[in-house]
Amino acid sequence: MAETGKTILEIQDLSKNFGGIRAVNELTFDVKEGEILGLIGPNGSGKTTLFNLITGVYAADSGRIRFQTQDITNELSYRIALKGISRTFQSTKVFHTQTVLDNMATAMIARARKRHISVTRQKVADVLDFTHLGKAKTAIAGDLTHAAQRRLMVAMALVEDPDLLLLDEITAGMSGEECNEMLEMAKRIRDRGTTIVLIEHNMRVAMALSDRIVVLNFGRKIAEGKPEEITTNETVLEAYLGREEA
Amino acid sequence: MDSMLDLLKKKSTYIFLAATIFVVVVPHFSSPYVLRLMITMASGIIAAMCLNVVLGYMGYPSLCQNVFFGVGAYTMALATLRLGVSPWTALALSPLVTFVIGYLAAIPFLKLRSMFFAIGTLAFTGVVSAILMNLPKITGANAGLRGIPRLVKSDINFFYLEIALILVILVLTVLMSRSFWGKILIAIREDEDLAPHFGINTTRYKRMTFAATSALTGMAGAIFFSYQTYISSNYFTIGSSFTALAIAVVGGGGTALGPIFGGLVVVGAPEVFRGMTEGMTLWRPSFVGAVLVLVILLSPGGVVGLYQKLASYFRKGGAN
Repeated sequence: MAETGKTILEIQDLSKNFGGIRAVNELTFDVKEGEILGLIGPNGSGKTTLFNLITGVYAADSGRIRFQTQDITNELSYRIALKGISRTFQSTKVFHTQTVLDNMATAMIARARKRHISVTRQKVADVLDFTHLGKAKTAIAGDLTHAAQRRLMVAMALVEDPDLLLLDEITAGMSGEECNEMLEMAKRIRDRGTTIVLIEHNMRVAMALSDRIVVLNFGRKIAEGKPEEITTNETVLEAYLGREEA
Repeated sequence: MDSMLDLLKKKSTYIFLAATIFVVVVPHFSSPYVLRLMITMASGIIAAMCLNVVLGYMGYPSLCQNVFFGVGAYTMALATLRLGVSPWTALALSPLVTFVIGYLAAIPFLKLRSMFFAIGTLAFTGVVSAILMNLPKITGANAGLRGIPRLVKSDINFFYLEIALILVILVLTVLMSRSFWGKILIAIREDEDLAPHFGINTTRYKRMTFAATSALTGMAGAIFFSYQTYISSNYFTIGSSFTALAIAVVGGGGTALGPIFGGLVVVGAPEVFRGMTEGMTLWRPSFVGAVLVLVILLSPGGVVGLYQKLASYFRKGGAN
């Protein structure tokens, strides 16, 4: 599905302090339905904190977050998930002692009970195929390779067809080949109609995937635009490479 | 018919049959001392089975199981002695009262994790213990309350009552572990911060589980002290809060049958040593401690884990 121009997520003057540190500082931007929005910035620029604010892990100090037509600022995590926002994590988070299928079951449990079992089975089969985990159904999650565990994390986030998917460095710790596979997967997710916001450290990945990019530094937005605009933006280059002192 | 044959082929069928015969027949031939021991053991097993759900499935090391045992017990004592209701009505009241107290305790304590939760619930036991001791007009404090009416006349029937409760809890635990509820508890144990991102209201399930297991523990307390006819605050000290934990851990956390084996070892071991260590009374706790340490060292999965290890060892013909 292509971008429709409709706003799905609206971040408005959002701020979060940790002690004296402003992790997110009066941040404002929109996410359009159907797009892949890349979120980049140096270490500590507030990207993951922003995901944690959107998904209710942290409470915002000020500002608003609107999803579709609802205000979700400081809503509880599970309610936000039920509204249709899914996420993955920078460090791999799955239920390690459980099988792949049990992981999927847990990911669906809050919603699957209200519908027919055959629908649920079909959903699981589809998403496992989609993430190339079809053959690993009965494997214990903790025994999977790092890349497969990260695919499982995506499968779990994806299985209930979220309207918005937040991907936090999906390629972290992956080889070049695995990275490309993940890239392809992200594109296919977008083609299924899911809007994606992704945090990416790997600039090549971010540029190749994103329709639009927001650049953060010290919790502030320093640039926003299409990938080609970002690569030539002076402020961005300065943030990444530092200013040359005279 | 086929299912009948399948049932006959299963080893677990025979174990279940043997256990049933043991439970039904043995009390009739037991001395009052052994019967008393079995009743004590059964109540410890119930408390541990309930704790096992909180600890083994949900991952919360609670140290206030005896508080709920006590709340149920005092409900029985106070409702019958002070309000004059029948012991059976009091037995029906005990899980209700314990559920409410359990739910209220869950609100602050389940915000804590791992060792902080353990310390928090231990402190809760201390507070409740102090309350019981300092309200002699209501609780009888150290001197206790006497004359609690008995639910049933004979000791054997008390034992059967407890066995019935054990079976109910066993069935509930197995059903729970196979349902969405069990999956949610395991998700909470594995990664509580991850679960809400799948829309799981972890707080609700944690509180409900804690309150429900408290309620069943309370029922066990009501039965035991109706059997005993006497209750005092001395039964609910901080030290006694470790018994249920020891039973659950020694039995094997997170397995439905674990606490039953744990109860046999933890409550049974001191009695076995009682006969063997005449004249060495002071040393007895050390022997008991040694047995518990041995079980835990040999098998972190408890008695059930040890059994599974041995079974797979013999299945392989002793090789590997």
